[in-house]
Amino acid sequence: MTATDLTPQEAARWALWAGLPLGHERRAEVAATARHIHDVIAILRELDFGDTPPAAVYRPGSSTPPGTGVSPETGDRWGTGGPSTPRDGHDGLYGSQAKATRGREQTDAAV
Amino acid sequence: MQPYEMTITGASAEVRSRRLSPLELVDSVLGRIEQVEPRLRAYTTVTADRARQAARQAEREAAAERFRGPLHGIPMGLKDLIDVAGLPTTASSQVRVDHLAAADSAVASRLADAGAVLVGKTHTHEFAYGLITPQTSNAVDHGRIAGGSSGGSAVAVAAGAAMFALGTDTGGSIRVPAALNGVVGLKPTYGLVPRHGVTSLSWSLDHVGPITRTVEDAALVLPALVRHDPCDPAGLRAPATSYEPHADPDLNGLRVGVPRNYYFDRVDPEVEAAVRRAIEQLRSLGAEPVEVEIPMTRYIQAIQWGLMVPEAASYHERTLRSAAELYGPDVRVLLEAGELVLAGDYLRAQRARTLMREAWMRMFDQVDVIAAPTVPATAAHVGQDAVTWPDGVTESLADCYVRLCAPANIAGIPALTLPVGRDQGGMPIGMQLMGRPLDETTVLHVGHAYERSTTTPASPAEARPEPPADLTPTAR
Repeated sequence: MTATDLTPQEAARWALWAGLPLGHERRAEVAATARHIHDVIAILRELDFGDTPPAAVYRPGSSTPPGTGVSPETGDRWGTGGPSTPRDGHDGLYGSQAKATRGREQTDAAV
Repeated sequence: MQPYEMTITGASAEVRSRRLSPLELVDSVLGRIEQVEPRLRAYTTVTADRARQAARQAEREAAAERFRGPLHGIPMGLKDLIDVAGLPTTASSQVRVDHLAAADSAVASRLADAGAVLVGKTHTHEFAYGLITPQTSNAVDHGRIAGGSSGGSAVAVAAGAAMFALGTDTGGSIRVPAALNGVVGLKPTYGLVPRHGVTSLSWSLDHVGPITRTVEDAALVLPALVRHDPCDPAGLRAPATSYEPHADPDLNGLRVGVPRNYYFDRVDPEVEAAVRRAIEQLRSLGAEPVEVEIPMTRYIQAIQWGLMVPEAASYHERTLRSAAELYGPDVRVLLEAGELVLAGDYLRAQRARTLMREAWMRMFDQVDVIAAPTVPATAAHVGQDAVTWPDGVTESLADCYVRLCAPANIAGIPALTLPVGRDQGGMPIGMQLMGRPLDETTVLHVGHAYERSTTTPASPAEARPEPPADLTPTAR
């Protein structure tokens, strides 16, 4: 079974497995929303993470001097620039994802 | 000019010089609230008696030449996710109908210590899980949405019903309503402003920050909020910093990143034109525009949802089982479906965030700030739930408003929105300035330099025609 195939009955079983009983009237809507969420986040399975750890304890680590806009090394007001190493040139998620959702239901799950 | 129309900077100078008493200032704002609140519905609670009592105390201190700082006697609102002792924190939800906060949140306590006067708690989209804030009307056009989730805070500030307000931002919830109502919003670096006593939506993405009418005012509010709080596990120990912008708007030597991808894709032409004009204005002040490639754009929404959806479901786990029927339908279904997200997917989102944060830090080797639209479109009409772009793609309104804001939440970097114009319908357009972690100073300086170089007034929004009678707010 794939999440794309998730039926209302299966959504109810999964929810119960998580300790959340779902009434019959809730199941179709919850299944549809869960499918949409899955479709969005499953794209991360494309990535090869290697040894990358999770950012469970988030710290805004920085390789550049923070705080004042002045480089301690150079005294330049705005710091100095180095060669950029942008990670990739992927298309925007909203490009591919929006195309994929053309003409189908939309689910708002964002703040 | 009425006192409620002043900026914090202006009012603070008047209070300091004893030409304006804190009580006069607070009374003026309370009067403005009475005038506009029936139409705007920005507040869940107005604390008039409490505010006048605090103003009298501020006045006694001023008479004794004791000033607590630039926020002494300044009336402000707090998003109703932020605890204030003795008041309910409703989260604009029936779930919290019997809530009463036992203690002040860290930010409420700090603002009180700084002399700010609470005039009320402002509406949020229910539990901050949405971009509309349906109870509240846009300050510029009552037939348009306020935006969210800090809609009440942005509308109150825009309308002169508060001199500043605090919001929270998980994927744009400070910046989106600030942009849609023509005011300034700052999402600081993750962990810089403590969240103890603030209802969470998503622990690893939530930020607290100020909404003001000018960038200069945001720079006055921020220092009152920043100090390490041992009760906040994500709290940073940042060095004491003055965020006061340079008086000189000279931007010589500053490199402004202009995205060549993502941030100008599927953006309303009027929004794009206004932001590009603003970037040209920064160039005229001495800044050097530098094209940048935004990394990992394909994964932005996936990371945002992969973190936020299960974290929100976890936060609401108990009440979803005991009082599910009290949630609004849009929030309830997201919480229920969030229970079905696998731990593997959540961890994958956390690992992807690590990669994305590193990629963004490398981008900041090239530039000092990045300038981009805050949101792709101005405020939607009430009832509109999607945007259709010229290429035929339809996007939900929430996806539209979040997509340009979310990267700063994922990367944890400071992001400021400021007004840079209006569309042909008169609706405000916001530009976003993003900087390195903990470099709020540069972001605020650039924003202030732009602000000083333009003639856009910072006075409160004037009301548009009344909304149609059928635009009754959704009960929550």
